[in-house]
Amino acid sequence: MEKAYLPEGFKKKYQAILGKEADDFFKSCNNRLTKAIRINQLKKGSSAIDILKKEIIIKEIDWLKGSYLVESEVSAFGNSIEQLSGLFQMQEVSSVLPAVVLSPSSTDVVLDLCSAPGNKTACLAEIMNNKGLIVANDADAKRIKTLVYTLKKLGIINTIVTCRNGIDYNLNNIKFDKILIDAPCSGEGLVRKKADALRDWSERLVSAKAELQKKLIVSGFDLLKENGELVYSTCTLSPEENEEVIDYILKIRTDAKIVDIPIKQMIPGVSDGFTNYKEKKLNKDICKAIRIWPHKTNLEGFFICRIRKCRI
Amino acid sequence: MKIMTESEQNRLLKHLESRFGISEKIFSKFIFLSQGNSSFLISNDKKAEIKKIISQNAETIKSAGIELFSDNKRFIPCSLGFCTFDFKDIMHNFVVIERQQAKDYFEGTTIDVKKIIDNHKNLLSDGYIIAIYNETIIGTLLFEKKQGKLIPNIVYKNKNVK
Repeated sequence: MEKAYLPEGFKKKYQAILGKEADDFFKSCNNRLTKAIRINQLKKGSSAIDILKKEIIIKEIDWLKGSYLVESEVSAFGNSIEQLSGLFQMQEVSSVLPAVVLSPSSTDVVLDLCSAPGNKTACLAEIMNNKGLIVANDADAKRIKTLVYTLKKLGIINTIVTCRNGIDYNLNNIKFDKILIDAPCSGEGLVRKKADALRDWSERLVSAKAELQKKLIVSGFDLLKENGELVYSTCTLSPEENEEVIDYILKIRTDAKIVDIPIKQMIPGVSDGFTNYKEKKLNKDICKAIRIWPHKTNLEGFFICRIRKCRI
Repeated sequence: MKIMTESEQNRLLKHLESRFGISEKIFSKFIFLSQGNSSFLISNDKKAEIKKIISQNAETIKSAGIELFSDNKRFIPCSLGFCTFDFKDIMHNFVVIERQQAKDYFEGTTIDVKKIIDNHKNLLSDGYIIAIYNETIIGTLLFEKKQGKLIPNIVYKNKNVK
């Protein structure tokens, strides 16, 4: 197994954040992530379970219905008829959570601002039972192809795909009940999946992503209806790209309030969002966010926060 | 992207009924859209919002719902779009295939299956037909009766399908 590349600056940063726990975190970066699949309920995906069980060892995650951990070699099922038919999709457990936390209803109008490659959009559609409406956007024209293919393969019929820059997104003043911003990030959480995920990591990259993320969260928040909700997520662990982004929107939009995440209690090993970072005091409600550390959860590193637009 | 006129929509519905026996009723929950030569179906739950978005943002919309035909004029179906239907809705011009043929289908290999064609001979005519595997529509094939061949209608060919 290839050893994960961890830049010195990265190690120094997390040594300061985690203290005694840092060694456990660095060790966990070298433990490859257990693959997971998501059964597509929109396509009678459960019929694939028996077939899959003949080929591979899968174990349903008791706190996340429809998601299974795969305890066999990925090559045993990666290109199966069932996957190509859209009966199931390979999807890490952490990346299912933002859609579950947003939990849109079948009558909602939903925006997925940074949608490609489309797995989270598909989860939203599944939760909505393929009803209501999802606008799935991505700024990257190249990634739109993958997004469209994923949605078609999984039988999603309630989605319009747009290609626009997320930071000034506007569809002629249409407002949304729910918005997902799974923001582009430095990808620190991916290191267990891809050993060289941190090859290009630097504090400069983290800062650049944080600037973009602040613009995206403001753009998204302003597109919410009153009482609408937004979920902000990243697959990175840097507080600059997570808690500080949330703190920023809470400061500049007084109608933004952090909301509890019910599923949080069910995820083994999950942590609270930070309310202090580098001697800075952040909004105390940020503790309601979900911080997924690989060494505590055995999952992909992730951050998720739920925000409501309240009446002032 | 634009909303189809009633006559454009009726033309497609007639073809779907005559070619595959798919009842018009199935489409009552959809809005028909078109972009270039292609047609799309989107759930009509949020009709007002969809109409507003489509009419005012046509240039930035890359796709909507499922693609039904990649070429409306020649009625070339989009395989992934047809997978959205229930296999029970298809009355004719379909074949029920086995696992090996389903693998061949996804690998994009021409399926030489005389036996399968014989089993379905009264249900098939030249042109595009629907492939059903394990009670699921997996796509469409081009049927050439004279050659007794079924040619997968897929965009992405896969290798070593399991």
